[in-house]
Amino acid sequence: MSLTDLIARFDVDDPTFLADPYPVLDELREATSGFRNERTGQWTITRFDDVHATLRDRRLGRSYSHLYTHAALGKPDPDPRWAAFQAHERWSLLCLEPPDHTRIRRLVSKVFTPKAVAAMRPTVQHFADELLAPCRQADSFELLADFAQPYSVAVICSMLGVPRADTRLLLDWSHAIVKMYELSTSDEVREAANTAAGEYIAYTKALIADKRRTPDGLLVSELVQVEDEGDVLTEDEIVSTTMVLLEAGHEATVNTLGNGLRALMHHRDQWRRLVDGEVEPRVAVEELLRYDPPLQLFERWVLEEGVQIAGRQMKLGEEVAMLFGSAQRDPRRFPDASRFDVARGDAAHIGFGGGIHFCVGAPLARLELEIALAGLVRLFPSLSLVSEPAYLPNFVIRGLAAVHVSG
Amino acid sequence: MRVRVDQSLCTGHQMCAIAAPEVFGADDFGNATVLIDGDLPAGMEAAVLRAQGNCPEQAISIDA
Repeated sequence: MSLTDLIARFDVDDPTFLADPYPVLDELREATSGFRNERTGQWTITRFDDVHATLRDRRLGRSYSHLYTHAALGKPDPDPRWAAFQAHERWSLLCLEPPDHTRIRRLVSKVFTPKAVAAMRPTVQHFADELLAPCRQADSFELLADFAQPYSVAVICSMLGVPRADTRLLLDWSHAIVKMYELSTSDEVREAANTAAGEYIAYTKALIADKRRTPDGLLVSELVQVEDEGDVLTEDEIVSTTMVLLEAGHEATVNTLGNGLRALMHHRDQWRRLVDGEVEPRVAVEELLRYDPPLQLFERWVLEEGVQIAGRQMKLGEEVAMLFGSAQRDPRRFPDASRFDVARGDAAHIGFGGGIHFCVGAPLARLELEIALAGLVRLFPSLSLVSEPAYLPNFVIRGLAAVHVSG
Repeated sequence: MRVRVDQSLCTGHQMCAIAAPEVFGADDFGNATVLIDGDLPAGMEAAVLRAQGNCPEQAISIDA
């Protein structure tokens, strides 16, 4: 097959590709270190070393608007129809670069510390026990809706200080919003994302007002109160920060657990190693994050002339798309890369990104995944799939629609 | 208090430079360097402890 034919198979509208992108990703990565995606204009890179270096390269950024106008780089202005969506991510850490990123990340990491996360362990354990108990009573259950989603939302809500009763609202908004990050979206999907973002902003503003009146010492309240050498977060910054923590705090965790459990069910011998206690859940979590990651593609903008990536000379204003799922199975980096091995225990994957945008919630995600996996292994040693789970028809954010299992 | 970065562990996230910019810088590869030789001046301990706690690779060690 020619390289052109191979690149054509990287088709995010093709259901066969979306159901299992890895055969195409494996072939692409071996054929080329990078290719131009004509549909999106992105220079798309496939190999671990290049992705690893690009994540840390300060000549690229998640945004260019701190340095250049849209017009200066020959790009269209943001579509005014999606103003609420743009407002929602305007001050998100994921879309900021220094100096704003440095300032906000420093304040967020002041309250989102590994120590604070470690102190969450009993609470997280409690949520897992509480939600898994009814699953034991049932003949079968749906891992995502019955456990992973309410579990993950309960954890992030209790850390942020968001009422658990609002779980359904938050899930619906978040599911609608993250579709905006796909490579191929319809106006209908964009409209839904924008409406959700607008409602979510209004909700978050009310929540912040509430925390100003009645501080509770939890994360949103702390963001309102936090001061670092006289620096404070503005209202808009707190809104964006709260929303990104809530969104990132469960979408990725739920999908990692779903994708990971599917892999475990398809590799019965690996599940057995957990049940037999040969491999600790904490160790297996790293392989779940590597093998079928919930984020398949992440972008950076080139902010300077003269940048070379994956052997290609880049121009200022070009966009680089990093294929995480491909990089995580690069045999140059991981021995026997396509093998699912729960004992691999290699935590230096790029499942949490890298560089200044390295996932601020990584310690919380690891804790949640470890406790969830440990609970499932302990309570459901003979867990099996009731039916073959189907992936949602998205590429960037990879997750299953449902995972029906019986214990 | 003295601070060290284990170069075999550091992969250049630069979280330490965000937490304590007076203490941590970057070499040409983006990996962390310690800007202060010897004992840290007073008042920097809290920021350095935060940098240590936030390091994703746990590459920072502190000698009392």
